[in-house]
Amino acid sequence: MSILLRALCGVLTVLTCSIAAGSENRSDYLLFLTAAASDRSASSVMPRHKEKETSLTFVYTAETENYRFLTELHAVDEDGGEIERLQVGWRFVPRAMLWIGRFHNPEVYGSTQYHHAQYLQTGVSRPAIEEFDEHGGILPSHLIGAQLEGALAGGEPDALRYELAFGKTGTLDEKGLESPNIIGPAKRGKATASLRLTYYPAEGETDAAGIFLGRNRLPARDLSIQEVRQTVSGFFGNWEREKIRLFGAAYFLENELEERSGISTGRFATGYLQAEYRTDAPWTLYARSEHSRGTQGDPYLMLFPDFAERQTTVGARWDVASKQALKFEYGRPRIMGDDSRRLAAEWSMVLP
Amino acid sequence: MKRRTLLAAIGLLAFLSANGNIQPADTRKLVLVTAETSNVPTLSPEQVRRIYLGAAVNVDSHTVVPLRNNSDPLLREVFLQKVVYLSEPMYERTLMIRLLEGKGARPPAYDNPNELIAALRATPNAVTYLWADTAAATQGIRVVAELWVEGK
Repeated sequence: MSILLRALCGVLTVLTCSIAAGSENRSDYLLFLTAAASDRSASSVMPRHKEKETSLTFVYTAETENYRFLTELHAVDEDGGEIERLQVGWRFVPRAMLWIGRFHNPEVYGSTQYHHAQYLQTGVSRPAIEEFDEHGGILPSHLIGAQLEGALAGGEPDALRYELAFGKTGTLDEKGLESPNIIGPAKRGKATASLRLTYYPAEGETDAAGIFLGRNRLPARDLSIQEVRQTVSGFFGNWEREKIRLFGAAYFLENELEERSGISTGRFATGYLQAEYRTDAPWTLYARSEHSRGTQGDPYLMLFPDFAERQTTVGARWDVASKQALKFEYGRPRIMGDDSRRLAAEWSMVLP
Repeated sequence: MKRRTLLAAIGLLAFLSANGNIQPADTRKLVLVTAETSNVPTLSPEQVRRIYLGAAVNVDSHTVVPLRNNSDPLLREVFLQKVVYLSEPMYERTLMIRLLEGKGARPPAYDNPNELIAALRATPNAVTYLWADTAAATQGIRVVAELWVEGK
């Protein structure tokens, strides 16, 4: 374990004990259960892919006046459990909090919206660009380090919020991106930094618009490359009125792959737009369109053969009970220039 | 003569009602209350909305602590519709997303009115919402905001 990680664990322990010992502490938890199945048809380049997965996500928070603790544990039937987030925050001024620990990278908009809570997201699947790194995603979704977040003064309370994160991300190997562990053997991740600015026109509403910028260094293991230096930038938005919701994001990636023979570079853009309509009955209909430019022959995407450069998805969500949902989804992903079909169904719920 | 008297009485009643001088006996009023010993000052409905959406509203450097009253479904629905301006599923969803984002615990919810009042008295700077007649009949609490009046 590196000295930095040991120091981080020490600070986490001390702060967590302080929160637990606080006289006015408050705590809360959520337990998300999910069972999902999907079937992607074979194409000329990809074999058929069938998947069944049951998962459990436990989120716990405790807080005192100036300190906050948050953890998110995610367990999947076959892969076992993982500490997705383990973070302690210190509110050192009224409008800003400094977090340390393992958290989701703010440069990936979707990862920080619902995290692993499948019940809260309308659909079954995520856009390909926002897939978690442990599920084959192409952006590092986890960071170990520090994050400063707060609201910029002026205007409506908390109208303009920022998140600035520094830390180390995971590594690249033949399976894709691997997240950094906060407990267990340390991996040789390298420094990363990301910034996100979000504007909320009205407090308490979900409408939001923002921009993000990140710089990642991803060391490679057992590959022909040694390191990827990556710049990620983009914008996102969410708009909701009565029964209609529209949200989307655009990502611009510039990659430098350091190989033994030299450096190869590539850049591409990808984005999505999702529209949702809530009917009077407990049904929500949704459709998502994902598009990319410049992905053909990109050296970084060669490391992720499952990445869908285009995809159209339609689906329906049925809120069968107050905290349970059934979802059905049909998708047409284009992977490596070839189209296939994907069917998915999911049951999810939250307690309490 | 009797008819004239009756018409005059109806006219007077209509005039007084229009001027707000009388209200039907069963007019419902929703109020925000705190413990008598607490420092919470008078709050505006907008501040109450912000507090129940999880925003930190400070009083004398202490944060106001919202308690959810789930003892009466009608009261809860009126509060969410008229003060928070969200349906119950949307409010629950908003609170869950805030928790996931690391913005803190959801306001504690109480199904039992006695436990709610006990928690209100025991928690510094706690607030909750009650029907006005319930608040008037409960000792050791005071009203800090009038949130909604039936018919207004």
